[in-house]
Amino acid sequence: MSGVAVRTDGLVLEHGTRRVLDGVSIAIGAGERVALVGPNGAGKTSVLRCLTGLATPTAGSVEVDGSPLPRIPRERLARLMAVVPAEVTIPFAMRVEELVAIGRIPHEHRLSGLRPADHAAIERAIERAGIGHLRGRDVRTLSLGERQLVLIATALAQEGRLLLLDEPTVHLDLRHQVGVLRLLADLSEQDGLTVIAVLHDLALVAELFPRVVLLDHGRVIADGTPADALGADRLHSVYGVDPRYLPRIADPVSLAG
Amino acid sequence: MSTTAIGAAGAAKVARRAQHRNRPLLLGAGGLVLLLVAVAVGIVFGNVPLPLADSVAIIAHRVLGLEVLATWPASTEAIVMELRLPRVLTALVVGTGLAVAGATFQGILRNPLADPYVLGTASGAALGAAIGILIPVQVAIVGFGLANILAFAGALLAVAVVYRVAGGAGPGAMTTILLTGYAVGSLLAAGLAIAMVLAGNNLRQIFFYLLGSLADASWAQLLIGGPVILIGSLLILLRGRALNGLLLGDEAAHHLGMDVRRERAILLALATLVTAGAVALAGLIGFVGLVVPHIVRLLVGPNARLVLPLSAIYGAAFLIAADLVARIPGELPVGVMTALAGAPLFILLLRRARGGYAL
Repeated sequence: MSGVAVRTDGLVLEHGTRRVLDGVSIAIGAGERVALVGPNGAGKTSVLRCLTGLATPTAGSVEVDGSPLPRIPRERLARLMAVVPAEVTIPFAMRVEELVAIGRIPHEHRLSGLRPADHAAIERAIERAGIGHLRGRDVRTLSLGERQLVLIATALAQEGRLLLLDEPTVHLDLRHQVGVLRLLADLSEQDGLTVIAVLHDLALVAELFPRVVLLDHGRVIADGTPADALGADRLHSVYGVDPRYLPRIADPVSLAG
Repeated sequence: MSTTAIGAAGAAKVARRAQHRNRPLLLGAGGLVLLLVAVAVGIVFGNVPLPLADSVAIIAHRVLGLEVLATWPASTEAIVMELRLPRVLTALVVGTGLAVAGATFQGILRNPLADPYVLGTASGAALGAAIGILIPVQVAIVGFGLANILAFAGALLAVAVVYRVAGGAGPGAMTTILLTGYAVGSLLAAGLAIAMVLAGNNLRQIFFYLLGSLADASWAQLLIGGPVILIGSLLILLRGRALNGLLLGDEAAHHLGMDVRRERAILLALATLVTAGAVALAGLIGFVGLVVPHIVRLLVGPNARLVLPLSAIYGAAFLIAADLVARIPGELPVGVMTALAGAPLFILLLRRARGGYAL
């Protein structure tokens, strides 16, 4: 199975008089793994919202799997793409496998609910995210890192070939950040999923993502390999911080070497 | 050796999981038995205890149309058919409706404190009933007095106003709806207070409506109100998937392929209709709609496909039992009983919450 291709063309999004996106064109091929980076307010999450149909662009277009987004029926879209939102609040006590089961909603039978195939998909998602040992735990008692893996498992249970994540590593310690990003790398390299993630840690992005899109003021500033896109001068001008605080991306420290 | 150990642990895990899957079935079957017992006890006990055999025979004869030799006194038949049976069945229907509506409101508002009355249905119904009581005109439409009719209309109207003022049920609108519900509810409660001040001799009647009662249950009311509540509840039960989709919030529901605005509007309308039917039949009975869904969630988790039907069964049994206890000392308001019996039970369950589903 191959991932799902996505492209945006001249995406403009306005909130009142404020232009949040100002002509964003990105083409992402099936199975690619792309990090969206940029300062707060650069438009990263807005791009994601346009891709999922949560926001309707003022101008420009979004294509998913070769079809214009507005023409794809909701249910089909939910089987094509799964989203891990930045924040999820859970109002009631809930076991890990029950939360993961919510990912099956686009597939399950309207009346009779989960069938054996759904249970199998839930099991696969739990195994894939490596959270088998958390099964049976109340989600609200998990650490943030564990919780993030459970949310990713929920998205995996949805079995879309395109995975979108909004800041999946925020609030996580370094070990869990690496764990989550390694999982995303495996999902694209081994399982062939298309992965698009909004991220902040540039050093980790440089290590674990082959392609980076750098956004600022609603525009694409750079798009390419980390070494090309995240040059020191460019980061300095986009983030406006003293160069000594910037990660040295052009010359990555190889952990293996 | 180690593989055997893993095998044994695995088997234990599988058994535990199977137990989890069977638990809702057991609870459902147990609940139905409990409900049947509650109905039987509700018919047999009261001011005048009746023989169980006679009661069963009367119901078999009159309701099921079976040929049974009539060996019971006519007075027994009158008590069973005209007083106890309609009352018990009204409690069943109202209990079902309140518990299902409560679970629904908690789900769509994603708020464990929500109950069927949260969006102004209670104040709307109360004000409607008070106005109905104060207007000195005797109206009776198919067994419903003006107070019942205005209570029903008041409940529906209150939520309609809240919905319009809050600007619909679009994504992220739920906090606005909740706060608008509170504001409109307060406004209506002020109206109710004025009505009570003006009520004079009718104050007691309004007061009893506010505490809820099944004393006036009748076949005529049940045959109109019952279907409204039961069909509304059934339609909610069929939308368990939508309620599950809303569990993680509007955006997550959108990503799962749901039309959030539409699904929530439908659930809101159905739950409001069911609540309005319940308050028209029995006044404001508190606690059932708040607590029963929580008790069920403590036992089976938040899956709406389990929570809704189990809430229906246990809500019905609970209200029949509460009404029975309320009428034994001589017609205490049933709303008092639901709180008196329900609150300690709920606290007990909260304290002993079985692993995993603490609130």
